[in-house]
Amino acid sequence: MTRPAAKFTPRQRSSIGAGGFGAWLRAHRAAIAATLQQFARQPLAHALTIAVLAVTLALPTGLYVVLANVERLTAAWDTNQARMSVFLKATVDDAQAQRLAAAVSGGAGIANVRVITRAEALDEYRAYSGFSEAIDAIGGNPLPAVLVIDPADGADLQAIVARLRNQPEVDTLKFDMEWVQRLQAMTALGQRAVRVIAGVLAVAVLLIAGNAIRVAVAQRREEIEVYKLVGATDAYIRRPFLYTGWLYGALAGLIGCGVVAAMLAGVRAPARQLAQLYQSAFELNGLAWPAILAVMLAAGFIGLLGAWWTAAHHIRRIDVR
Amino acid sequence: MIRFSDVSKSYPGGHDALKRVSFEIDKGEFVFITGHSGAGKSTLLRLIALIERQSGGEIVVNGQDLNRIRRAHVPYYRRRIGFIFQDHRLLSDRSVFENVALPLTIAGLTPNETGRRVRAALDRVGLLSKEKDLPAQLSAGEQQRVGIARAVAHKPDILIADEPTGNLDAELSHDIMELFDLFNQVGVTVVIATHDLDLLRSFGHRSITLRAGQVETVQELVQ
Repeated sequence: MTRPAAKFTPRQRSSIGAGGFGAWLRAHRAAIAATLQQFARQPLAHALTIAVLAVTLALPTGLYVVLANVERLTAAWDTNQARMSVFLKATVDDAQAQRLAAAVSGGAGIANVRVITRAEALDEYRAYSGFSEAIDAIGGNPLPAVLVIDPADGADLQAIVARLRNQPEVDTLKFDMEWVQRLQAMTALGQRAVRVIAGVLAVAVLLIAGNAIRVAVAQRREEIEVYKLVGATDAYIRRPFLYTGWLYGALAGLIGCGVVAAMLAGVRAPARQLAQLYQSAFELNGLAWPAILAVMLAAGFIGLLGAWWTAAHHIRRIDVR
Repeated sequence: MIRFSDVSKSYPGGHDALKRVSFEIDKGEFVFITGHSGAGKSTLLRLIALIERQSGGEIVVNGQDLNRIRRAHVPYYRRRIGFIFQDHRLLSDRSVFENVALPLTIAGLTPNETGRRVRAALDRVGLLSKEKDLPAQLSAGEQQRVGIARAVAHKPDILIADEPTGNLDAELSHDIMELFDLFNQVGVTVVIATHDLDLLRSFGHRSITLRAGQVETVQELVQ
C-alpha cells in the first residue's frame, strides 16, 4: 500500500482545538515536570548514573586543568631567548669572574652578561635549598661563580658556545632553554593526549547516558503505551527523556568539576612548596566558572545526544498492545 | 462514519484474523461486535484505532481512508477516538484526575480547560468525589469508569470499547453499558466488542457477529 499520505487540515488534526506557542510551552513545562518527578521517584538510580558520568567526566577535566597549569608555567619563559648559564671552575674567584664577564660582554652577539658571584650563589643556596647546615659543616664555599649570558637576537649561538668553551675559566655551559623546549614538547604531546582521551570519554558518556535512557524507556513501556493510545506523538513522549539525558550530562559535568576541585585542593599546598623551591610564586589554578560552565554545556549536549539516539529508536518501536 | 470494505488482516505465520470483512456503521450509531474469542473482534477494533494496519481492503473512518494516514499522523487521528480496554489501562502512579487529564494535557489544553473537562467527564461517570484517589484505591467497576472518563474527556467522535465489562458482574456491566448509551445519546458513535450476549440483548442495538474472521450475521436493531 503505497498511496500518498493524507493531508490533515488543522481542523481534522484533533477534535479538541489546541496548538500554537502556548501549547508548545505547556508541553515543555509538562515534560520538565515529568522529568523532575522521575528523578524524585527513583533518586538512587538517577544518582548512580550521574555518579558514573561524573567520574567519567572528571578524568579529562582533571587532565585539562593539569595541562593548563603546566602551560601557564612554561609560557612565562621566553624560549626565543637562549639564555645560557656558564659555570666557571671552582678555582676562579669573583674578581676573575668579573674580568671574564667584562671581556665576554664586549664579544659579538652578546646582549647581556650577569655575574652570580660565589658568595651570591652560596646565599641563594642557603636560602632555598634547606641544606645550609650541610654547607656550614663542609666549611668554605664549594659553589662556583656563574655567568648568566643573554645572547643578542639572531646571534650565532654555536660561535658563542665555541668561544666560551675555549676560555680556561669555563667549566661547563648549559642552555636553560633546552629543558624548557623539552617540557613544551611534552606539553604539546599532553594536549594531544588529553584531546584523544576526552574524545574517547565523550563517547563513553554518550553510551552511558544512552543506555540509561534505554532502560528508563523499557521500564516505562506500559505508560508509553497508554500515552500513545490517547494520542501522544513520539516527540511528546520523548521530551522528558531528552530533558533527563541533558540533566544527566549537565549535573555530571558540575559534579565532575567538583571532584577535580577537591583533587586540586589536595595537592595545592605541596605544589606551592615545590614552586617556592624554584623561587617561583606559581599557584595552581583551579577551574574557573566559565570552564565549569563549558564542561556542563558540553556534557549536557552529549547526554542529550545519547538520550535522543536511544529514546527516539525505542519509543518508536513501542505501540499499544 | 466507519466503513469496512473487503478488509483482511493476516499475521506473520499465516494466521488470518479477518477475511474480507465489509460493513458500515453510521454516524451516531451504537453497534455491538460479537463472536467467540478469537473470532476477530479485537483485531477489528484495533484496525479502527490504527493500533494495527489492515493487510488488505479499505477502511474509511469519518471520511478518511486509514491507509493514507501516515505513521506521524496517527497520534492526531487517535485524538478523535476514545478507546476502552477490558483492563482499563490506567497509570497506577497517577491520581484519577491525572489519568483522565492525560489526553487533554497531551493535546495541549490549558490547565483550566483541562480541569473543567476532567471534572465534567468524572461527573458523567459518577466519580467526581474520587479525583484524588489512585486507581488501586478504586473498585474494578470504578476503575473501568475512570477508563471511560479518560476515553470521553476529549469529546471524541467515536468511542471504541473492547470487552469493557469483561471483568465486571452483571449489575456493574449494566451500569457501564448505560453509560455508553448516555454518550451515544449525545451523538457519539459507539462500537463495543463483547461476547456477553445477555447484555447485548438487553440493550438491543445492531450487532455484527464475527466467526473465524468473517462477518457471520448482522442483527438489525431489536428494541
